[in-house]
Amino acid sequence: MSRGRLIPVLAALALAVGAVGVARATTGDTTGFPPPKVVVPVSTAVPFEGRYVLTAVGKGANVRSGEMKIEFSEGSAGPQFLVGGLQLDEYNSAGQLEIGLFSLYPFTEAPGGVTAPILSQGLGQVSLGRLVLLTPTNSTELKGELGLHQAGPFPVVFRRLPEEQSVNGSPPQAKQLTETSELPSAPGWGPSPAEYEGDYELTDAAPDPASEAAVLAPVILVAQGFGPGGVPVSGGRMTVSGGGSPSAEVTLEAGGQSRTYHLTELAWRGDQRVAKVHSDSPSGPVVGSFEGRQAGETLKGTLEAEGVRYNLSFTHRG
Amino acid sequence: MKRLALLALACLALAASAAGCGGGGGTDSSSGGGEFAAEANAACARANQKVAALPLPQDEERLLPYLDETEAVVEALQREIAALGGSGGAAKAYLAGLQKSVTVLNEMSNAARSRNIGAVSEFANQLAELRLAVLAEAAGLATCAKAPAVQP
Repeated sequence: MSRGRLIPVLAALALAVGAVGVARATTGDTTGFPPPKVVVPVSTAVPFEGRYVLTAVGKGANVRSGEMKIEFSEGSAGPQFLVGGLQLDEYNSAGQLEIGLFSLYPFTEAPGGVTAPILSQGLGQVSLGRLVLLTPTNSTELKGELGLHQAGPFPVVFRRLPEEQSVNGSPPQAKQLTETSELPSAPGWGPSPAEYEGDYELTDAAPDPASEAAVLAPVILVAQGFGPGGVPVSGGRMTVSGGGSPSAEVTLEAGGQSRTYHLTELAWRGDQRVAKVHSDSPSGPVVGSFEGRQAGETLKGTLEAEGVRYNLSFTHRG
Repeated sequence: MKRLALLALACLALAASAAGCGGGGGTDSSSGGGEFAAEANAACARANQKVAALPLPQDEERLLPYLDETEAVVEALQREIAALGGSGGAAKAYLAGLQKSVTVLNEMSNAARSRNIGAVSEFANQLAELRLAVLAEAAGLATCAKAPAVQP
């Protein structure tokens, strides 16, 4: 299509969009929904109305950032009802960021607040999850739980945006909440030290991506360090000790350098395994945490230390 | 980018210094002779020094300037090597690798500009797959095969 023909078409599209008043902006659609069968009382609903930016989210949700708008539906007969639009920047299975636009409808009352299905947009809307929002206790913060893509629920915290403030469709990165506060306190990494003591071998070692990169080596390591997959680990091992204070020593090779971390306060519940991470010695300052899941002899988890994230998979060798 | 850069780049520093980064390079009869190799290696040594001197980004906001500056250094290197006119197939392959690097770095910067960190990481994989050091070695450009001596 020539440029001369394209401009009128674009102008017509712009007029058409303006004419129907699609209120999507950088979040999802909030118009065109019929009154729901059950309406949240206005007195309950009012505190939720507003624009929000996601400030914290459970890291298992694979959400980097997000924003949300909740408003009363306009132009429909009958009682006022809440409708929401939600934008989430999600990591897909390949570790790439994708922008998801969702609608929140219909809102219903829930213990301590309100809840709504998270609907896909476009024709044939389907429910992809559920958002629970607790009645705010102050004017700036909104807490709740997010269940999406059959995962969760994960804790979420939103910050209310003042009228004059905007994130211009690029919300800042939300803090990734760990599950530490919800995790077990039973010492060790299983009911019996014999089950978890011993040597572990890293099974998902990857080649050092910068080893043959010459002048590009630094930028490769820098970029991958910021990515969702974390720092590529080219080798590693772990030794777990039981006793009165179960601990572990993890050695990881990344970027051609070997680094040893000390894990203390090992704890477990079900298949969950957690620990605190120290850099120099078991008695040194805590620099991060380990969270993983045990399946048979395989322990998969994430070690975060000093701002660096390693995704690891170990096999227990006994 | 916090500790990652310090850890990973410390290795590069050691590797580069141990290998005599900035020293004389080899020659490649297929690339146009010793003069080409010497001048290309000198250009690579300068580029490595510039990359090594770039402040490592500690957060996403500083990632974009870092990528932009790296791209500028690599693009300048590519122009210098091209101007030297290496004639052999290996030299041309190395030059093509540099040209592709500039393209990918540009796309990486654009991804960082739009805060698509996942894409930034993916472009890093593409850079690694170029195996620039292997191409440089094949062209007899020993210094060009070395990584910058980044100081943590």
